Amino acid sequence: MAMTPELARTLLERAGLSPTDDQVESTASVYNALAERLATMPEAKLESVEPHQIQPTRRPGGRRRK
Amino acid sequence: MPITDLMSMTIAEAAAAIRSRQLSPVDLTQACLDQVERHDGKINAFLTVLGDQALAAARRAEQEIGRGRDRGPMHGIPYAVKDIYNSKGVRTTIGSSVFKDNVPDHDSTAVRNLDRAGGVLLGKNHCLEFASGNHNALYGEVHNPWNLDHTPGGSSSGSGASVAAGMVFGSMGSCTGGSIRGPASHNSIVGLKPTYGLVSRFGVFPLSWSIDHAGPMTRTVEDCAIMLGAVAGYDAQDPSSARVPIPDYQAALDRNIRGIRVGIPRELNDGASPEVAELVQRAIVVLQELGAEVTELSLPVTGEYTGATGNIITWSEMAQVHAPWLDRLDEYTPMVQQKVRLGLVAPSTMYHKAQQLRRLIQAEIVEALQQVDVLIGPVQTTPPGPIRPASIRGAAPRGGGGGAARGAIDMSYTRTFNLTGQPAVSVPCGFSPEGLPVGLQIAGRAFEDDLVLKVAHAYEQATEWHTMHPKL
Repeated sequence: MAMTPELARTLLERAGLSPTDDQVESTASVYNALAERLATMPEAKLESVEPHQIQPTRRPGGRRRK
Repeated sequence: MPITDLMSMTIAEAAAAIRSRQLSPVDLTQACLDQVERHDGKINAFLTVLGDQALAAARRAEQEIGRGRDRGPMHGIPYAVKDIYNSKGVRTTIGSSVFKDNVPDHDSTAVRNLDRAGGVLLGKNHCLEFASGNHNALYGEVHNPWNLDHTPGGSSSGSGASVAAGMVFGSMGSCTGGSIRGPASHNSIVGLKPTYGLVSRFGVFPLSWSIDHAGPMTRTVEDCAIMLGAVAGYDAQDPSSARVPIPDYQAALDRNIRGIRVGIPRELNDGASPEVAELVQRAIVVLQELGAEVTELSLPVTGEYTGATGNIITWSEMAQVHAPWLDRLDEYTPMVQQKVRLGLVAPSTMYHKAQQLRRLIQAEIVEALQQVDVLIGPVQTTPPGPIRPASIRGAAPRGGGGGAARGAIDMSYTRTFNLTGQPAVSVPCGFSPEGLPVGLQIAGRAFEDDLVLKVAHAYEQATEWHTMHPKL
């Protein structure tokens, strides 16, 4: 879902901020660029992918050299 | 032993001279303080210089060594830390006006470990605001020792500049997207982002919990190995700390890399400027002459999604980190404000999708590192650029809406390994026609920091870049 400037303003105000028009526009614009890029990855390819957690290398990836 | 040229002296050389009582840690510390006094007015690499405290630490080291106590190769060596590392009783600003009077009551684990290793904390290095942003309105710009009109990179700006300028022998930087390797590349020094979990981040102000790394910046690979050895290891105070054996990184630095398999990922090389691409190509030839087997490969998911994935995760976590200070957001520089705002509006579904993509990127890199031993490419697309005018520096990312949107999804050579956690080092690989430094990135498998350093050392010793220093 695209982020409209109105929605961006509402969310920022709910967070306690008082954004300027430029800040609202920029927030919506960058958000939409990020969302559009993520949308190019088909959801089906992520069905069985568990989100990365906060400790990515506890179990080291890759094989240890002998 | 006379101290004639601080910039060309290494930790390894100084440590040997200190142990054989040819060099006094007090004289060495005073020489570094003099170097700061002479040159930091034009470079601005330090926010706090610890003159008396450093000299007292140096005297303690000298007395211990005189009594026969040997704490290892950092004993009596002057170093600094980026000003986001807590240091007990010493102002720690995080590069921000919000923390301009902050004096921690405890040391970060890295400072504590370096203190136990006998290191002499000389001061706190300038950095970008909250280890983010694109300039520092409160504390001014840091200048590149190779050309004062150019940037030293960031966010560990002062760390890179102070090490290159011979003010300290090493500095601890931090890295969420390239903030160790970037300044290392731009200052022609060595910077290691270690494996996630290898070096404790306790007492280091977070930018993004799941991506932040702490690591050493030095003038040579051997010095980097020495400093890493002093700070690596399990720390119960850092929830991400890994329980792994710590090898002798310095001892692992033989120059034989014959048969090492080097991968050249297209996506971690595409987009470099012609002068950077040429220097990296020459570095590849050097590695081949040393006996490395070079293979080209492709990382399509990494190339497509690293930028957006990294920014969504970083900014989402950053918004939560900064929740206590949202009422002071207008004190932040515009770029940092923008990142926090993005984190505040990003829904949890977006954050978790980014974390799913991160899994795919890590899987792709792990698979690549089963075919080869290390991955290499440039650290940055270009040599360090000129310091921009204040009117531009104050702008939001890439100049606001459209530019910021494009920048948010850009590929980053360095950030890939922040997302995946694998170790990656920047080692000097030459200079542009204008005399500006360029770094080579070498990345390897998780907890094989020793192999990454070994390849970097072999390359460094086969070239002359580490023998060149800025003319101050």
